[in-house]
Amino acid sequence: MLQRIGSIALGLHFGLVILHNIGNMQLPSIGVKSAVDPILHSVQRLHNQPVLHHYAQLAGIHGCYGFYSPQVGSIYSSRFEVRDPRADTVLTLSYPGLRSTPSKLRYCTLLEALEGWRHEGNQSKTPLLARATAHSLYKYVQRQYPNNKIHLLIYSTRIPSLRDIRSKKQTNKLIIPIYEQPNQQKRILCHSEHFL
Amino acid sequence: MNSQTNRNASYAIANTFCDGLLLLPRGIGLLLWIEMLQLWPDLTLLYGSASVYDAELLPFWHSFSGWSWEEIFRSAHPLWIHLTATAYSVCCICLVFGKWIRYSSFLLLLIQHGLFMVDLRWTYGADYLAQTGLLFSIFFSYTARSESQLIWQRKGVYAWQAQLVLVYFFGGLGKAMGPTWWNGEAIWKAVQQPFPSSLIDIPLHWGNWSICWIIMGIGILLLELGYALAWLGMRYRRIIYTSTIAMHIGIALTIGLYHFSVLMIWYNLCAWYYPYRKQTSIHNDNQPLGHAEADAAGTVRTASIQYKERR
Repeated sequence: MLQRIGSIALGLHFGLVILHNIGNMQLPSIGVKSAVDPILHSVQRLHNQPVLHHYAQLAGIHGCYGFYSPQVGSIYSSRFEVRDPRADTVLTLSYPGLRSTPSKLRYCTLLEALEGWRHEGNQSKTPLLARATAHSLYKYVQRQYPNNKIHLLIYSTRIPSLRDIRSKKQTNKLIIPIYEQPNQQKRILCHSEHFL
Repeated sequence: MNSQTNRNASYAIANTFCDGLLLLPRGIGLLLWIEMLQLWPDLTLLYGSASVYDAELLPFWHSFSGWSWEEIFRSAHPLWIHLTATAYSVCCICLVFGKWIRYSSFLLLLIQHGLFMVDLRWTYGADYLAQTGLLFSIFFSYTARSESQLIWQRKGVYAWQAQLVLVYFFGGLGKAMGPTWWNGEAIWKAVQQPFPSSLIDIPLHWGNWSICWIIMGIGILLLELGYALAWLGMRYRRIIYTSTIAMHIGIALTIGLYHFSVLMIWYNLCAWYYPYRKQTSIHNDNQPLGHAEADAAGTVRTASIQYKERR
C-alpha cells in the first residue's frame, strides 16, 4: 500500500516538473505560439495553485530548467568610484564590500534578475525596482565611506558576435553604461580593456 | 552453501545499485558546506539589518509562498545569521559523515528553502537543484533492511535518473527553441561572460573558428535532448555521463560556476555510475577490513572490495 502511495507521489512529482517547465517555456515567436498559448495559460494557472506551488518550491522544481535558453542573456556589473576630496584619491570597487566569489556570483544574479536595466537609451525609464536597488547599493557604499563622493555605474558588456568577429565589425568587448547615480555624465561606450 | 553464496551475490548487486542514493547526501552535504563556508565572511552583507540591500525592497523579492529567514534576521541580533549558518553547516557535516541523514536533510532543506528559495535576491540555479537533491535524500537515502525498503530504494534510483533526464531534456528543449545554440552564438557568448571566477579566459580571436563553436553548441543541445538514451545500456550510459561530466567541467573552467558544475557532476555519478558498479569480490563479514594475517610479519593488508561496471 505504502509502495503504491509512494509511486503515485513520484508520478505527481514528475508531473509537476513537466508542468512547470512547459508553463515557463519561451516559445519562438512564430505561428505555433498563438496555437499553444491557451494550453500554456491553463498550465500556468494550474501550477500557480498554492498547494502545488508550495510543494514545487520546497522541492526546488518550481522554476524551469532552461538555463541559458533560448539564448544567453547579458551579465550586468557595477562599478563604485569612491572619491576622497581631501587626499584626491579614487578607490574603485566592483562589488559593495563582498569578498568571496560565491557572494559575488550571487550579486551578479541579483543584477541580472532586474531585467529592467535594459532601457539603455533613457535612464528615467528604468523600472522602479531596478532604480531602488541601485539606490540601495549606492547608500550602502555611502555609509561605508561617509566623507567621500560616491559614483555608481551599472553597465553591461557587449560581447562581439561570431559574425562580428569574422567580419571585423567588432573585435573587442564594449562596456555599455546603463545606469548611473548620480546621473551626471554623458554616456559613452568604451573598450572593456580600458575600463577598471 | 552454493545457493547461500548466490543469494549473497544478488543481495550485493542489489545493494550496489542503490549506492548512488546512499552517497548522494554525502556529496550534497560537502558541497553545500563548502558553499556556506565561502559565504560566511559576507553573510551580514547579504542578510540582516547591515545588509547591502534595503529592508523596504524585500517584499519585491519574497516569493509568494514560504517563509523567509530574512524576516527574522532584520529584527534580530546579527549573531542569528551566523547561528543559522552554523546549524546549516552542522546539517551538512552530518550528511557528509552519514549521520541522521533523513533528519539532517530535512532540516537543511528547510534552512536552504528559507535562505535561497523564498528570498529570491541571492539565489541561482544550483540552489534549486540542491533542494531537489535534498528531497531525494530524505526519501531514498537509507540502508535497506527489508525487501520492500529495497524495492522502494530501487525505484528511487530510477526516479533520480528520471529527474536528471527531465532537467537535461527541458534544458535542451529550451535551447533548441532559439537560433543561437544552433549557430554557435550562444555558447560563444556564454564562455565570454564576465563572471567573477572563471579560470580560463577564451581569447576573442578564437571567435574566428566559428565552426568549432557551432559544433559545440549543437553538441550540447543534442546531448541534453538525448540524455534519456543513457537508459539504453552500458555503452550509451557511459557516453552520456562522460560527455555530461566533460560539459560541466567546461562550464566550471570557462564560466566559473564551480558549485553548480560539481553538484551536477556528483548527481550524474550518483545516477549513472555508482548504481551500475558490480561488486566482483565480497569481503568476508567475519574478518574485519584491514585485518592482519598471522604470517604477515607485522604488515597490514587492506581488504578491498572491487567493482566493475555492469550492463
